[in-house]
Amino acid sequence: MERDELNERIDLSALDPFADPAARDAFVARVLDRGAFELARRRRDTAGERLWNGGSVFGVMAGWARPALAAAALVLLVSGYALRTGRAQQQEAQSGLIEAMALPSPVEQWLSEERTPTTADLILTLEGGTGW
Amino acid sequence: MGETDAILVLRSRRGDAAAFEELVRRHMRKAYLTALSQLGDVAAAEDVTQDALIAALERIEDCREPEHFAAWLIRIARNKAHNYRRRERVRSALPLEAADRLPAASDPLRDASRDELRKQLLSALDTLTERQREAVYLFEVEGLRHAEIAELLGLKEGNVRYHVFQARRALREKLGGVYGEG
Repeated sequence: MERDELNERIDLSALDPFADPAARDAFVARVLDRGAFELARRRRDTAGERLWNGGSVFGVMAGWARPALAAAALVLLVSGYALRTGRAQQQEAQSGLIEAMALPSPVEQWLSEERTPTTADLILTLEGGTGW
Repeated sequence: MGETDAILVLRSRRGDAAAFEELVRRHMRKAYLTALSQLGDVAAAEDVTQDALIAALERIEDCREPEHFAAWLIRIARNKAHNYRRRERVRSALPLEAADRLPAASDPLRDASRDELRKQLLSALDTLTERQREAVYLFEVEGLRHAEIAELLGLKEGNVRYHVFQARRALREKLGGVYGEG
């Protein structure tokens, strides 16, 4: 409706260099070329920020690694102690040690079964899925 | 319609070249027409538009309302054009020089008549106020509605309607039979 106000359109397209698709594309290419350095800098900054904030895949993995390592260290400590005691005294010592240390039930179970915990055991234990 | 300007601005902030290109394609003509309305020189307006787009990228964090990126870009283009005019002392009566920097002619006769038309248009437009030129460019070349122009320029719709009307009437008088029908 607005365009019918004066009934005739004034053709100003001669002043529009972007009416020509080739000229338009060339202009866009020049702008992108000039902006390439700034865009690259921004990509670098964003990548660095993600790593710093732990938002990347590596950051998430690093977050996971910490409790897993802590659990592994605990198991190693307990296992090492158990190996140092004599076989004959092991059962008594173990139960005594477990009681004394008030270890969580999954760890107690691994020790009594004399087996190395699997990854699933560690995850379940860390999540408290077995009552820890 | 693709992604909103707001999304494209956020992606551009992270260095997404495709997003920035889309913003450029969407709004370069608006920035160019703003610059042209101040400079009256096609080539200078192109240069200023390019500078404005790069400045927008470099300062894109300053775009506090990403959904209004176009209005923000227009303000940058206006400032750039103002600085350009002051620095270079560009006068509006340089149409032939401007025409020299346009894409190479494929049809000399047609391009010669186009250059002549451009000269006449710029000469007629030079008699308008800057606001009138800006409004009529956005209305006629970019095809925006009065309300859209008002939002971009930060004016009331009634004012835009008035500017466009005055500009069109003046151009019709100046140009006579030069312009064709749409």
